[in-house]
Amino acid sequence: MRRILGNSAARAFLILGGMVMLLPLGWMLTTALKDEWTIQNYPGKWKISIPQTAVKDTLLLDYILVMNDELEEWVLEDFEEPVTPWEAQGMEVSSSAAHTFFAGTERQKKVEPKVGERMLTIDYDFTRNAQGQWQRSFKQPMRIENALNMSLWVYGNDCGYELSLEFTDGDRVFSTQEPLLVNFRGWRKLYVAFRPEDQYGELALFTAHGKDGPITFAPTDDIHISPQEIKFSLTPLAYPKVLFNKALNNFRLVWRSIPFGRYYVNTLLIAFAVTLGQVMTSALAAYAFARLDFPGRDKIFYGYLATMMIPGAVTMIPRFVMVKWFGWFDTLYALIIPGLSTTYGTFLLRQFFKTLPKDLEDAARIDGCSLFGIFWRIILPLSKPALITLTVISFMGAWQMFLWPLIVTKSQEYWTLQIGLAYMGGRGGEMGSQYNLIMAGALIVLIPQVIIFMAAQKFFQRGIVLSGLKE
Amino acid sequence: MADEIKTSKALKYLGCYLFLLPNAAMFVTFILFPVIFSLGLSLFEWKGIEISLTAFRFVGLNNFSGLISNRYFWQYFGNTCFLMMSIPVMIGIHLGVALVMNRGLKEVLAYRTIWFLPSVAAGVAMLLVWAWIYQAKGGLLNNMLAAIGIPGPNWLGSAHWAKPALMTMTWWNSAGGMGMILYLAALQGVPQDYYDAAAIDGAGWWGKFRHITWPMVSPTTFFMLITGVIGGFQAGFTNVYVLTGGGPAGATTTISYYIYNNAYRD
Repeated sequence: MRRILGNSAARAFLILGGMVMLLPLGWMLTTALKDEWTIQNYPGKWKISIPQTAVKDTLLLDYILVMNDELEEWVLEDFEEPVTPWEAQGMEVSSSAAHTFFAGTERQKKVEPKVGERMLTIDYDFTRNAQGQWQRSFKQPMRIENALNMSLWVYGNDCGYELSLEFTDGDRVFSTQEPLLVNFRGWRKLYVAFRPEDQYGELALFTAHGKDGPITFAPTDDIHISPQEIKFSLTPLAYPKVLFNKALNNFRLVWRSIPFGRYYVNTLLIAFAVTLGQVMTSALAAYAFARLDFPGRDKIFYGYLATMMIPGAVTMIPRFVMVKWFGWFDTLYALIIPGLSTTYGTFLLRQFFKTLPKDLEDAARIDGCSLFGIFWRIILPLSKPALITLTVISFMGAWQMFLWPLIVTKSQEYWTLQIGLAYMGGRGGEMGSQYNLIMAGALIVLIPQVIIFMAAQKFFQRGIVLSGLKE
Repeated sequence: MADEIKTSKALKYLGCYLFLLPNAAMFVTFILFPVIFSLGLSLFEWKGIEISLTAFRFVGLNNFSGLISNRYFWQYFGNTCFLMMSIPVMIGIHLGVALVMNRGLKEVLAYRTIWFLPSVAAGVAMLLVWAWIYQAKGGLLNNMLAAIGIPGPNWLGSAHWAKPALMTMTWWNSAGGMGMILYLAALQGVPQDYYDAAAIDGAGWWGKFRHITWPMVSPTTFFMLITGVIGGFQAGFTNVYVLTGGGPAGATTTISYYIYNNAYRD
């Protein structure tokens, strides 16, 4: 009876504790799927908003701006004319004052439009027309020198749309290469860049066509535009595309603005090289310490042991100076070479080698096997558990190292995942407090890591036991 | 003949040293030399990081007395020690969880996997999740507190709460991690006979724990205490760097963060 009671209590404790363990991970996952609107409204909710396929509703458009290379913004259209020059097909557009539209509507406080300001309301009914267009022409085209990008203020209603934009300038036609995605709630500024070099993050891209085919702009070209006719077209996204689109939105955004691919390559390269180096050098030295007899062996070994007790922070500064001295500062060498040996690993393997029976070695020696042959053909195959343990420990250590890469690298090109992630989402990071994006980035880093380490968990746990108890 | 033996012996030793060479070369360059250099450097004043004779000036123990009389150093040392106070608690958690896990439940593997998950997920990514949990507005913790009507503080931004917040995070991160696994292995190594004998003598749950379990796992406890203290001095960098930046007002600046800030920031 007591046993059953105790077991139930244990079960309850483990399940409850397990939930506590899973809670932060769940919070991360749901946050990564949320939009900005949900994140910025307090108190936060667990619920993820599920986007709808647009049927019959209203979108808002306010301001079309063009930014030049001095970061000045030119207002191409602010929709302030009461009789709108915009014509629509398949939907209705009208210029209306903000306060009439917003009466009683939930809205984002941050970018509240001024009362009385006008904007374009786009009323659609996709049951009647599969898509809609609206356009206008300018009688006195504005000329903008050195255009960098065009931007639109759009008020989304959490349905998914594709918005294409096209304008003509004499013989040239500029159109969005891929449609802009309107799958958010509240006001957002959408950008379209004129050159691929200026495109990052959420920025879409214009492609230009002339009379004689496509026009490409070199980075040094000045792009002067004077739009004469501008045209939009709106298409709803269907299920399940709309859902998929929204769920992956944060991930796509983060992936585009942060070079995670580069960080992955760097981290994997470092982790593989360091692991390989550590296992090889440690195994060789451990064999010498455990099995070979030579003058000074024990003294050297005690030297190793003594340094194991010294915190890494003590040696950090001299090591940094040496790396600078060797000219490895801000290269991958600085991240790999100083990590190629480990006293801890040497100690671990030496303890394991000591437990192996000596008979096999003696037999091999009598058969004329060389020292290296014994090591390679007899010791190593027998030491698989210890070698796997060290491999896992080294790999994890290299994967998670933080302080060292932080001080020896400067260019983003050589950053590891941990550094890149801290730079993106840490204190004063690039993404500020856009935690939906930060969590998406964290997941991008975490998922492969969890898969790798879960696969190695069995060895890992055994390794901990092995390394901890042989002390 | 004697000569021959000598050469063959020398050759044999050469082979031995060759085994040691790759590791020892790295060891001397990147560990031993920096340690000695560091100790030596502590007696000098060093301008910049150029290696030249004029850059060094012997100052004896002045650096140490400068450090000891530095008010901030003691504050940061205190912070490090305060954060290290979480180690005994953590060891207690590890042992407690291991005892529960060791009850021989059928589905224990599932529990172990879930409890171990935070260790597997460790790294900056998890720290960012905690930054979001501790966020004053919209963070998980304050959401939950708000649901029961308590206005939560700005956890990481308050001098009062920042350290406990960091410690709680560390506990979550490792409650079912390596320490727990170590204890579990130690517990499984305790012979059942001891408990049976104690039961015959009429020992209760506490008596068994006090007189059998605790002494039997004490090597593990010792090991974890030592590694915890060694690790404690150097740990507390990444956490602090990502979450608090040493603030507010130096409330979470640890020694390693102080070193980083002094040596590399500029």
